[in-house]
Amino acid sequence: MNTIIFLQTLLIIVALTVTFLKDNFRMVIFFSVFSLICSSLYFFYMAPDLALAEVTIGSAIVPLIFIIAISKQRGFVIINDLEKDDDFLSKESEKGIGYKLLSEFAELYKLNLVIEDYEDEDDTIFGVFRVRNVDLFVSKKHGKYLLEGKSTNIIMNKLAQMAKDYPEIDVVFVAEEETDD
Amino acid sequence: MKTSEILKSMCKVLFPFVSMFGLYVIINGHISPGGGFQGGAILATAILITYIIELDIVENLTLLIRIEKYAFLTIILIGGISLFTRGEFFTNFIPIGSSIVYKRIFLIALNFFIGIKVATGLITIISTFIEEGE
Repeated sequence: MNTIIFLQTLLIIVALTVTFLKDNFRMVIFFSVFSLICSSLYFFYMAPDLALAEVTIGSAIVPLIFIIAISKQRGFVIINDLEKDDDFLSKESEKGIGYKLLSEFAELYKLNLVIEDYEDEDDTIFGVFRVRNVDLFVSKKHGKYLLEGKSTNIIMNKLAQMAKDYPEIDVVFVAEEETDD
Repeated sequence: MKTSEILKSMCKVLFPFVSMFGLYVIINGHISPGGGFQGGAILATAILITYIIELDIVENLTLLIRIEKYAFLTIILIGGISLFTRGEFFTNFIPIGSSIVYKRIFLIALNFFIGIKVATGLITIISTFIEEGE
């Protein structure tokens, strides 16, 4: 009986810790501790079946999903819709001013640049689940490079400010639904 | 991101034991706590733990999804056998009068295929989730 009361007290403390923590990674670890205590409580209340399910789902799979989601947050996804021989976004050559600007921008906010080519047809299996979160869409019109981003994205203002030094780059704001997600 | 050596070797040590425990829970599902779902989740955990140390272990997702579909069909087929032997859907297909040794075949087979289905399903979900933003 004493063990159950001790575990219940511990469970309340860990639950409050999860609620008030600011650090995301620590919160995930405390969440899995919460699941472990919960599953031992299930065991003491004569439900070993539930305890097994809780210990696998709650302390391994859900934290893994959270960790992946947190590490995905740091990405800045760019879709590249330029010609193949256009070196606006290329890393190596001197002409890659777009890459220079964007990498400066990403360094400022500590983001990872993810540059992908534009595909019309997406017939891979992952396409079924996909509502993609595209941050920037790069294309070329009338000799000017267009960088289209969502107007709801706050850090886009900073990008527009940084792009003022380059006369051949235009930063365009579009509404939430109009981007090519 | 650099992974620490301790984490790598612990994952390698844990992997066979966790997968063996998963199989044990699946196969003993009819006489002990656990069963298809719990054992399948443990099996999936064993494989997903290795995601921490190396990111692309699952290469052929389509094969996994196909295995999951076939496991699902097999579960329905095993349930459907009783329609011919006892005239009822999704009950034990072995006659009531026979010994308990033969009756448990139904439970073991169902638990086994449910375990495969849950394990492949969970691996597919998380692999898709990892693949998503890249």
